[in-house]
Amino acid sequence: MGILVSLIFSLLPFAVLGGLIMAIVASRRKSDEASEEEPDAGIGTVRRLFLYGITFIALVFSGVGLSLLLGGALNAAAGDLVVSTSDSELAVALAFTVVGVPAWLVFALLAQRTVTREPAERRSQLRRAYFAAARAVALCIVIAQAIEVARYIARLEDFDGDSWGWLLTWAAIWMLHTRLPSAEAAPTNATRLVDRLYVYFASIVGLYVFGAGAIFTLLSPLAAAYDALFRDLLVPVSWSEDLREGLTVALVGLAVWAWHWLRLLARGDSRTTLWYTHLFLAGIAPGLAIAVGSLTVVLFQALQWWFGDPHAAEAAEHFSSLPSALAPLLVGGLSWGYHRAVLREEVGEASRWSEPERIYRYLAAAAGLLTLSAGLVTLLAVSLDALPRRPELLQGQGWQRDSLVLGVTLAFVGLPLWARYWALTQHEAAEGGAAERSALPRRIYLFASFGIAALVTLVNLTIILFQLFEGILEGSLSSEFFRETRWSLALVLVAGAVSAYHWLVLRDDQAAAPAAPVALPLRRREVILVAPAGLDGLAELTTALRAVEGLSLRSWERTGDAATVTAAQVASVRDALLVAAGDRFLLVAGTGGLDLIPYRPV
Amino acid sequence: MSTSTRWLAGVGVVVAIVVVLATVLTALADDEQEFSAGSPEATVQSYLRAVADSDATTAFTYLSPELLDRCGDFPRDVITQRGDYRFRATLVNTVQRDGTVEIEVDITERWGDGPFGGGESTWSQVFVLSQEDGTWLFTEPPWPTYCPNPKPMPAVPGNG
Repeated sequence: MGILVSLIFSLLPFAVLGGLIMAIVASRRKSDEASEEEPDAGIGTVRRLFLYGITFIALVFSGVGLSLLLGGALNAAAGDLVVSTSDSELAVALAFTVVGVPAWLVFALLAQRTVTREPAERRSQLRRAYFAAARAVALCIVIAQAIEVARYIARLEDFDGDSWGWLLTWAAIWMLHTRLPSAEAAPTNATRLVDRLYVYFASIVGLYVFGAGAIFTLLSPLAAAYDALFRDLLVPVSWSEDLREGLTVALVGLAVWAWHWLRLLARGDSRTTLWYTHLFLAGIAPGLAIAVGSLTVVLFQALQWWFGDPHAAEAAEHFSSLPSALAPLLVGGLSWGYHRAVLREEVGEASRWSEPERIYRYLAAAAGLLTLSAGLVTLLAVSLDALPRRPELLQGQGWQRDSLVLGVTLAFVGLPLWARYWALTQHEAAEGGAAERSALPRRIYLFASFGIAALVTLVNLTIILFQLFEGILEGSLSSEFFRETRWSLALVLVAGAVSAYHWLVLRDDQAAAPAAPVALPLRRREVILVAPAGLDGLAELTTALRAVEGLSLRSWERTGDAATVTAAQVASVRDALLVAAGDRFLLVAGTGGLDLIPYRPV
Repeated sequence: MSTSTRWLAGVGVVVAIVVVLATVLTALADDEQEFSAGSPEATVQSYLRAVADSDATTAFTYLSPELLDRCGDFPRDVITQRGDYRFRATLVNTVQRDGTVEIEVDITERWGDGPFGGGESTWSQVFVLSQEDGTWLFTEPPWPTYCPNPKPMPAVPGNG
């Protein structure tokens, strides 16, 4: 099951990145169209890159220097400092401040002046990227330090002026870099996109910090309640401290998420590609993965207790990790449910899938397929392990049963997950026709499933055949062969079936694709035109002949009287050429009209 | 019923068959072979059962006096503190040598628990036993114990 969660989490960054890239490409296309109307270079890309790059570095220097200075001053004011062995911290703070602040002021003013002088600078994506990067860095520092400060307020740790110094300085930087761009409207799609990317980034960071805090917050009371109900503790543990720890993280995350998502995005940016990407790949998919992963742990523990070989003798001890699974189950389930509700409210169920939704559904189907396959492989390996074999010296009562329980758990979790999402995608493919069948996420899913499964089959088939031939050649082949190759045999059976099924689906998709027009083989013909130099309609005749595909024309001059060729004669001879057998013709223009004579070299 | 629904139903049936097959085979195979009392295999089996039960006292009763003398006090925690490590032992081969018996055993050890971790490894282990007063006892430190303080080999006269 770890495979499911690790797969989804390892693929999620790529999926989110893919969604963002698609959004950027779509927006760039629009912005290119817009900028074509107003071509203006401004100060130029290289100068702009230099200006905003230096400004950003100077900003970081200023932030570090001012944070250290403010933190040191607060520590000194609090009077906690008993003895200091070195003034190096103050020296570092002064050095960063003295270099960073004037440099930032100079370059920031220079950037503002270029905006005043060059109106095109307002459309610069680099300028917007500077503001977005400054806000993103500041936000991350503010979140980390706000948690430290909240811990002090919750009486979890002593006063630390450094945390306050960093928090106040970078909160000020964040506010300044939020106010400045909001004062000047983003005039193009590309600049608006850069602004929106920051807001989505902040919303995702806030959501994950909030989620992690919520899990920790729930964990302590759940564990305490479990202990109070089912266990006799030798030393009672206070859970209020853990609860406050979790709450500090959850509240900071909630504030960031609410500010960016609830206030700006949930309604204000709905139905855009970025909105769908956030909803499906940052909200619904991780929520589903966490909830399903936790549910798997609960199911495994329950099945192991009744059918497997539990380590603990007492049920209370065996299920003691239940609160650790229930807390993420609740939070993951709530995240999944909330984001589904937002989708239903804003879009409704009837709408055609967006690209992020399509990626999400194929991702969920892939995770389900992988989990189901892992379960089937485990079950088949357990079955092969139980076949007649060498005498067991020691096995233990539950050696096989734990593997059996693991296989059943994986199959029971993977089957409904894969069946639900695969059935949805197949239904959509049947409804959407060729366009849906050729959608990139579907092609990637099908080719990856087919290709990886085929590769696994071939590799394991090689292993099985090697062991088989080795056993035959050495004369040591016995029933142990099935036990020694049980994992490879199970992989060949399951991966072979997965590969074959997806190959059939690929064939169905190809069959459903519209047939390409059949290209007839090009027919090559040579025509020698023999006509008097002053022939009326000669130009029309040669033009009509040259228009025939695959026809090469050579002209010879016929001596003698001039003649006339009518348009009807030209059309007639062209039609005759198209249907005539043979590939060499002599076309003679004379007073009697046009004679088409087939010939062949002797 | 559509083709895809038939496929899904087929997958469901296959999963059910595999679950039933694995359950039946596991239920039938969940046993150990009993070796005749007094055989070297029975000694290895009893020793490994004591290790599986984390019972060091019983396990050490299968070590020969000569081995105990050579190695000193064996550490008990390699047997009593095995955590969530569990193992299976399969008899591969029994070889008679001059006064000793070598029993080759495949040991598969499993650790961790649940769907989010754990692992398994298999290796071959040879146990050396000799008969003393009609009982087969280990003459070399048997897995998972080891000789903690081996006495130095006596110096060969004339060397050096």
